Amino acid sequence: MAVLSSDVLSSLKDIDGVYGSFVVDAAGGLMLRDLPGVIDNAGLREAGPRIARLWGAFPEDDPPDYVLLEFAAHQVFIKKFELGSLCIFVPPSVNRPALRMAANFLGRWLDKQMAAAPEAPPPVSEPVPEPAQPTSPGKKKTYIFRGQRYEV
Amino acid sequence: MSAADDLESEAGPATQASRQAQVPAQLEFVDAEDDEEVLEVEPEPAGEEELARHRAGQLLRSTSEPGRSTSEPGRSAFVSAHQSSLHTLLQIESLSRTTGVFLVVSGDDSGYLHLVEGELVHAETGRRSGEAAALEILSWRHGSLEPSQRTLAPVRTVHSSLHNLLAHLGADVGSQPGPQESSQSQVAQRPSAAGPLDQDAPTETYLAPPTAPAPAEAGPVLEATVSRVGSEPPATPRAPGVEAPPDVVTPRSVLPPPLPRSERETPSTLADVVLSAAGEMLQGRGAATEELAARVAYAARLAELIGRAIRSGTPRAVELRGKSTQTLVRWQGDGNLSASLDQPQPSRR
Repeated sequence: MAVLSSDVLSSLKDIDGVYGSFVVDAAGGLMLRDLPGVIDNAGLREAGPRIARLWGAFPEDDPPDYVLLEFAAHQVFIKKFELGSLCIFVPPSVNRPALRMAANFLGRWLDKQMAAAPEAPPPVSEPVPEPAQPTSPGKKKTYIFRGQRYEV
Repeated sequence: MSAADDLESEAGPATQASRQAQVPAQLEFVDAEDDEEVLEVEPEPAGEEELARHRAGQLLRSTSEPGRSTSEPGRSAFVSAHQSSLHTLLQIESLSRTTGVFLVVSGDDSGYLHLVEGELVHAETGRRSGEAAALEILSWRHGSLEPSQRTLAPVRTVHSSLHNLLAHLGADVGSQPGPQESSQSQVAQRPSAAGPLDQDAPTETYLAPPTAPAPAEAGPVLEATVSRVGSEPPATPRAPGVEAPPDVVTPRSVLPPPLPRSERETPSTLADVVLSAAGEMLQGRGAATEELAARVAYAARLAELIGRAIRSGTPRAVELRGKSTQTLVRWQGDGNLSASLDQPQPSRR
């Protein structure tokens, strides 16, 4: 069984300016991510099904290739492959032909890997938040307040 | 009676007086040899009289006064131009940050170019609109350009800059026209103060009919092929006996047709629509606009939701690229959506 790692997405950063990327499956489920922590998985999970449905906006007789969402400061290049969608955050100045080629390669590779993996890939783990106070469970703390002893 | 006299008589006394006030000297019209001088940036401000004469001699300089940003249809002379001049004229208007609508007439074809602050925002012909129409108009080899009273388009359908469109056409921006083009300029004067005549009949041909050269004008080739107002000789008349290049005297009808534009360079708009924020189709041209409108509305909504989910805000545009078509959706400032279904263009970035 093939194991998909988010490291595969790092190859996209060979293209100048690529901020990061993520992958959703055909139903929009989040599979891989290689993005700064400022974009949380909740947002990606919310976007995933809509990305999957986006391909339905193409004419029936014209297979989709990609979608480019242009925002004020960046763009999201969404490449469709057979078993999912590859979404790449790029600046407007990105080298589009190079990006398309890199996305094509990666999409084909992902298709092979996902087809070879009968089981669902491990879910994307949430970025681990920094613990506010590292406390070991089971260990009590003792406070003395006005002569009284308190254990917490 | 010469073509010039005809035009003078058509203009009426008021127009003639107005023109005389503006143009104390003889009107000069631009031909190939005048282009360079006309399009040269003046090194220093000229006097009002000189400016007026220059403006009249130039091809449509409605924005020649500093700070003027809107075209003045009643003031500008009707101008005829070959392709290169048309491109140059538009570039002048672009640099002048002109706002207005221009009627371009070429033979039986006509179209409108809508400029806002010098940017080409909309184009329309009888068959097309948007960039396809702009490319069609810019590809016309001969024609005339004049300001129009037509209302500016409320939505933007041309998103490429004028420079890019000209680059599409392979136009050598700023270059001098070749002898073939210059010889075919059918220049005529149209009375500009007679009121807006173009509004409801954009297909009217304003080119002067070909006139037989007067005996006195039969010598220099350019005088024989270009109708001139006034008797000022051409800047560089050909010496008698010097054979002109064959293409200079070739009638227009036997000229080789313009080279076909490469398929890669001519995006063909199959359909375009304008939708309100509520999804109502405000405009639609081309085939299957209802289906396009539905797809656009759906894609736009999904794109908005995706943008919100990934905290990127509302998209400015969405490009849906298929194997054989591309759909470009743009959010307008007024909340409307404009979209076009085109044949794919190669990415230039």
